[in-house]
Amino acid sequence: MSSSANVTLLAFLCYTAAVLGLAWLSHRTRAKRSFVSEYFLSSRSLGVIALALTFGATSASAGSFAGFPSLIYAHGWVLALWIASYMIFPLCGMGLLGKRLSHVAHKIEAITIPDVLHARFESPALALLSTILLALLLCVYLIPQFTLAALIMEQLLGSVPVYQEAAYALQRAVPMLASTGGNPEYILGLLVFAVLVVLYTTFGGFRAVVWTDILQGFVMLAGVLLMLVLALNQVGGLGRASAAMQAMQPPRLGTVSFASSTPAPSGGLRIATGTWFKAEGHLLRTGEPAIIQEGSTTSGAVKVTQITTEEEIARISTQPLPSLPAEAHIIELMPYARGDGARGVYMRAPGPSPTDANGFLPLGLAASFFAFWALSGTGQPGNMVRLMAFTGVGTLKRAIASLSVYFALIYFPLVIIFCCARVLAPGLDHTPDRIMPAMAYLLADGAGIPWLAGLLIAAPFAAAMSTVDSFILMITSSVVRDVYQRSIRPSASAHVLRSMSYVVTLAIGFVATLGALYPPQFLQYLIVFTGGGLAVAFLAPVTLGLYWPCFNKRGAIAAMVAGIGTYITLYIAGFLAFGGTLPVRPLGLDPLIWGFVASLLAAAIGTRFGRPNHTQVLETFFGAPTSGSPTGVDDSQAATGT
Amino acid sequence: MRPHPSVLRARREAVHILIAWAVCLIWTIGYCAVFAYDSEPVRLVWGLPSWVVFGVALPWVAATLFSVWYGLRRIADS
Repeated sequence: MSSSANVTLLAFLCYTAAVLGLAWLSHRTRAKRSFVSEYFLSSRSLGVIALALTFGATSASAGSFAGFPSLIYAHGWVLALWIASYMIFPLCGMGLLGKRLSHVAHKIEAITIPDVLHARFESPALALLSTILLALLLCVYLIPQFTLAALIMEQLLGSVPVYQEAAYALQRAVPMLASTGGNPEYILGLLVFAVLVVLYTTFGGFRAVVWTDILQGFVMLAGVLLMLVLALNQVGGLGRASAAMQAMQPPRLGTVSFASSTPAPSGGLRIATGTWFKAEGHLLRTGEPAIIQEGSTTSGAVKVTQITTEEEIARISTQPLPSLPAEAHIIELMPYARGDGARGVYMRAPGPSPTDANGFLPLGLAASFFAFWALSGTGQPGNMVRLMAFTGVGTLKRAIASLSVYFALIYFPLVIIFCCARVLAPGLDHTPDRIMPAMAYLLADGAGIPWLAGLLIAAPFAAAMSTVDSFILMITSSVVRDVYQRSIRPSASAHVLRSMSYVVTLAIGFVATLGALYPPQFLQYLIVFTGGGLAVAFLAPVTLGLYWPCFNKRGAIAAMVAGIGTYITLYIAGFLAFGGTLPVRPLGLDPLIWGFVASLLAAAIGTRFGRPNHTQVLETFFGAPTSGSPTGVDDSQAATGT
Repeated sequence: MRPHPSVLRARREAVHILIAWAVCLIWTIGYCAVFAYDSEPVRLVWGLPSWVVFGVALPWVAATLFSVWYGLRRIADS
């Protein structure tokens, strides 16, 4: 483990050097071009590989390499159905809007999505509303991304002695950091991540973000394919993995306390996370460290996982269990709400669940997620911006083809790898978010190539970074371009805009870091909530604005307000009804679906009662008008607003 | 007004893409509704649960091939 950890540190340093090198190259390129267009859109010069990988890497956030694997590990093959929409996501995400958005953005020289909406609907109010929504939701989105990145750093490097020493030295040097309650390894990881990502984003702009996305895209692909080969090899083939999962029944999650016969010596007694032991005839594994303080004889409650599958118990028991300095006493062991005692639940839907008697993925939710990933991905402003930055339709066409193959090579193999993980690394059900680094170490050690862990573990870090850099730049462009340059100082010089951009980028990084120092609970829910919110707010206004000539200002504002309003209302209703983070889901469908339906209805009604668009706008967006109407809209259409 | 032919082409392509998405949705959710939520022991095909093969994996391969073909051959250059 120690040699693997040191190699991980080395791999991380190499990766950091590569990222900073790309930022420096980008900065040199940028110095020769117009600031705003180059800094925020890379002078609209993305080629095939750049477009495909920046789109893919931005879509694949830390959730894809930390949250998704942990869900596969916890619930089994049903995650193949949960993620199935990615089979058509590249075509939807790039093909639905790509051509039109690129064409229009070139024509009106738009830099941001609010730019496009402003030009299409001639409404400063709509542009401001979209800017505020964009900046607010993206800022909230950044906090869990920073938190997840810091957690990944903590898991990757937490066992490296140099890293541990640096973390504690930092805490001693800045005592204020200790007051946040986070452990030193987490805080150091957060600061390293924040400084690195803010530095290269500020320094290099969009081009640096895209170049690092390309690097990160290749790192992710290489990491996944290597893990797939190693996992299948070490588990003995897919058939053996499935046969083992077929026999598997869910574990029980609970707590134990440890008691020693004599008071703990100086420094206390410590039992590490992941330790196997037996108590009261049950085979258990610790999900967190157990600590008996100096002079005491008992620990506090420690999370444990009880293995219940006979075949697994027999297999694990063939290895000698470590002798512990204290005896364990079971406090409680809770059965799963769905799947307890049943074999084969990891092989079929809806999948086992420790808390929900309906299982992990009831059918209505499966249909919702199929719509969710495609709609949510298409409606993400971060993805839309990339569609404004490529060189021509030929680039888009080849990028769709490339990304379709890329996603097929990433997401389905991830399901296979982490189903194998259930067999290779049992007992991590209390802390499934550790499964990615745990598998990387296990596979690399099993293959006898410890340095490989460094490459495998770079993948989730790359995923977190590639999403965060894009979103920081988007918030910066919204503030600088849509608020400052358009509303406050239209004549601002390039020098002023450059300074503003640097300051805003640094400020956003600082705010997100501060937020992650006090990490919110329910990170995955926050990511889903903000991602869905962006999609329901922007998808209908942008899509209809590009394809429907009669869609007008009132329709666009109504669509945006109704979409986000419905979406947030269902979450608030869920909070009031259930007291947690789960939204109300009428007919079992996710709030995103209802938000999108409300957005479309409001768009139609608002357009019906709104004023027709001006001829000049229609000419710009849809080509020359052919009717004699002064507004460029047929009289019959103007009368009905259709 | 009558939009420019390039707008009409892009709109037609968008409709095709939405139809492709709907076909994937109907097949995957429909097939899995019948076979993945079944309480019978799961049959294996190529080492995978059969509902994963026919409900997700093969449609994924088909959708990828379709996306490549549609992207390269059917989306107009203008």
